[in-house]
Amino acid sequence: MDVLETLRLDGKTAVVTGAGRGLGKAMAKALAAAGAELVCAARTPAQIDETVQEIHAAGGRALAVRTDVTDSAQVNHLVDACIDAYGKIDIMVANAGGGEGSRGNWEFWEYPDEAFEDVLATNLKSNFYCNRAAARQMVARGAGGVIINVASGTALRGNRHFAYPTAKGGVISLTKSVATILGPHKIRANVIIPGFVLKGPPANEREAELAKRHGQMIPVRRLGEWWELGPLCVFLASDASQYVTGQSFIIDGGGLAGGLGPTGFVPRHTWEDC
Amino acid sequence: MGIDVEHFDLTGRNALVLSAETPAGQAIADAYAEAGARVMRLDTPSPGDVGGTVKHAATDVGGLQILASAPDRFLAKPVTAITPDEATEVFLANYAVQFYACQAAIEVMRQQGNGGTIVLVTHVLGERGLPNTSVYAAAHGAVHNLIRALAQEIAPAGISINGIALGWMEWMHDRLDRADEEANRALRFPIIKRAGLPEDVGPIAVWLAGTAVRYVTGQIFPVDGGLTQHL
Repeated sequence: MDVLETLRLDGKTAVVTGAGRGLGKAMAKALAAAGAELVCAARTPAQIDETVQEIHAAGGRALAVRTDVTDSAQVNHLVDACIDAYGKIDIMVANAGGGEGSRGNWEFWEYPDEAFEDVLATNLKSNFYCNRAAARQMVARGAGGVIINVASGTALRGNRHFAYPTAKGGVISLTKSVATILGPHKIRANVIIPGFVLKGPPANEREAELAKRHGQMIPVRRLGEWWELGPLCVFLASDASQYVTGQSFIIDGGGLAGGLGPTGFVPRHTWEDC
Repeated sequence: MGIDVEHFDLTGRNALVLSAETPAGQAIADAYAEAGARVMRLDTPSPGDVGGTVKHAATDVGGLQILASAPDRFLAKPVTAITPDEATEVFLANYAVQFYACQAAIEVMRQQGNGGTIVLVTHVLGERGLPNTSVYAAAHGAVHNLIRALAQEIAPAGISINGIALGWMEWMHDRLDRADEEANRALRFPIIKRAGLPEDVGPIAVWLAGTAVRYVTGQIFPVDGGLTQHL
């Protein structure tokens, strides 16, 4: 089969959470561009409506379902909405999440229960709910499927804002277990691990300057851009990756490959013997 | 069985420390001696002599229960500037020496028939990259996987093998140009804000050679002040 053909998603249906902006929106649009029919979910109707409109404008098929992924009943309803609209679910992209709640200015030993639980609800329980709801339908239908979780490079290193990386570390582990459990049902599960990726074009010059400076810390000397998640998502959703499951895909401009020093640090040594 | 200091007592065991002239090798040899082992210290032989040297030493001390090996030949150069001789020498010095040392020690330990312990000193650059370290980092990556592969192969003979991966150690100061602001920042990168010291290396080598770690093999333990774990 032609390799580019294996990347096509014609006839597939996909749910993307957190599809109202940033990486989720980019992934939803990429899946639609590859031929999939989309259900776009997020908490803010205006944002997912905009994603859906952009997919329609590009000739794709999509609908918006307002969803709070921290509520398992709403997640079940989201998957039901996909079945109602398209008759099946082939692809679940559990992308919704956010680190904002993790950034309270508490010392670790004073970190409140509610703050930790909020972060876990948004960033780990939500993935479990999405994976479970999708698996239930995929297993019942018996035609396999694909689950894509989205974690964060922060999960692979220690970080002062620990709650978010802790939850995302759970997502990586969840993915491996889900792949193991659902493999016999021909359901694959992989996790995308973005490094420092811009959620959209910088809003002003100051943001652009900050992004440029931050980018100097990364081997490729720039931050990632939102749309770059799209092709990876399509690859993982498609038959191009049909033997790939339980794996982590880091997309970080090389940041995690280094990390033994600042990016600009180059060991020097004059070795005269050789 | 309770945990007590006896698990760290190496009395009655023969330890061969290869590359005892390096700071890490010296620290391990001293620590093994303090823990009660009979220690034979050898400077790094040329790669072709490693096997014979290890076997002779084992015969001289009347058997071998512990091998620790810590060769370290650094090279930092832009990839296109590295000559074939340099590439070969760095690979031989950092990887082949370890390989031949293991080969000989495993043969000796198998003939003895009562197991043994191997500890290889390597570098965290075996897991990560930095500019100008292509050959050195790759050679240490090879050592990391040597440990994993041999662990499988020699476990049936009761021989364990583990690695100690060093981070920025104080004796590596010549690898950091202190006039370079970026290099100074590199030293501030570890969670524990200092370069590693010889006394950071000895204790873990003793732990890895003791009787409390019989179920630990094929692992690489960074001694890097948390360098590889922060963001």
